[in-house]
Amino acid sequence: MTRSLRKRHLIMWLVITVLLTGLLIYSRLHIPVFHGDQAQINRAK
Amino acid sequence: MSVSYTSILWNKNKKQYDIAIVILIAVFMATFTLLNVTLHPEITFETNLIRSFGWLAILLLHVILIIGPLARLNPKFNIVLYNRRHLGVTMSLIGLVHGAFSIMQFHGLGNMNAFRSLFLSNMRYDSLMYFPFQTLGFFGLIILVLMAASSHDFWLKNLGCKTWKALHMLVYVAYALLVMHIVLGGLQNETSPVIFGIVLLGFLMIAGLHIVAGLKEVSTDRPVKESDEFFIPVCTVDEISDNRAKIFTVGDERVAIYKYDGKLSAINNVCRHQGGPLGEGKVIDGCVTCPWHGYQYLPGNGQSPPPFTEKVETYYLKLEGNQVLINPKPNEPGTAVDPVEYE
Repeated sequence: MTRSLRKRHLIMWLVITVLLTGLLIYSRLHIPVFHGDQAQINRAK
Repeated sequence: MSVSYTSILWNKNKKQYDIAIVILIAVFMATFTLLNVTLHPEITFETNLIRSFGWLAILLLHVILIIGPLARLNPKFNIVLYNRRHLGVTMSLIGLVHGAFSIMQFHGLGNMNAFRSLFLSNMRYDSLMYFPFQTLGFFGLIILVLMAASSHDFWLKNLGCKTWKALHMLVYVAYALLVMHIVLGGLQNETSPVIFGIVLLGFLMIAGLHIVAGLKEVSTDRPVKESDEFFIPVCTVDEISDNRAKIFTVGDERVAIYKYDGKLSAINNVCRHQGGPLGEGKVIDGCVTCPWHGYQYLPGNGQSPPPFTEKVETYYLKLEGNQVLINPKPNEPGTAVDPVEYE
């Protein structure tokens, strides 16, 4: 790979890591099935 | 390497690679289906198929995405990188089966056109819990199918290496879309933390390996000490193994200095085919051989042997005792440079 491509590659991975980590943490905290709030799941149903 | 295009240039290694792919798929499908039938006897055959193909596709995508950084961290993994495109095409086809079955099952049985239904039946883009995750999977799949369709060297040649590589870098966007597709879709009905843990582990493994490999490359990219001299010292002859190269960053790009038949030659480290690291390859039959796909170049002039036409930049070298010095100014690709002979 050329140097510029290697740089873009690393930057892309840093961005994806930040975005997906954010999504996974947010979903763990806020989506009821992930934090086991059965009452909220039942209300939603 | 080939002068004309053929659909697949079969050889023993590719056949072994493909047999391994088929075995991996068969073992996964048998195990997953058995587990699904045992743990979820209530689900239908169609749902079982959708889940099996979906999880198999994402497993193969993980395997594909860790091959690159593993090969950059340890060249031993180049052997799995060699025929990665077959793995990619297989994964796209499996993803396509998952997508087609899902659209038929969830959108094909109503009055509305299945694709209209895919985009219009759920418009809750403002809610994470009810997010229309199927559209994420749809766009991820489109990228994978485009990549599979353009994976042949015919497209690499006609699109140009830069455009082709940019298109294939979209695999990371597809991966992000597909992780979101799983987290906001399939995992919503999963109350066990095991599957969530597996997805998280897969993500951490892929992202971690890419970042570690990327940082390692950045440290390798520190240029050798520049000086006002015309030639700059890089290493001693003994530091380079026979029929192998040592890689240095000179100016803006990496250069590979090869030692072969009592001679030294320097060429650009980037293969013209798919940007493979030439300096990690061997000299075979007098030619520098790219470790990724076997493209070859003559070390003395950076040209592929006739009838092939690929060319890379060459560099002037000189010896002072045992010390190897390089002129950092690259010659035009394919310029013949007399190799330096050593005692």
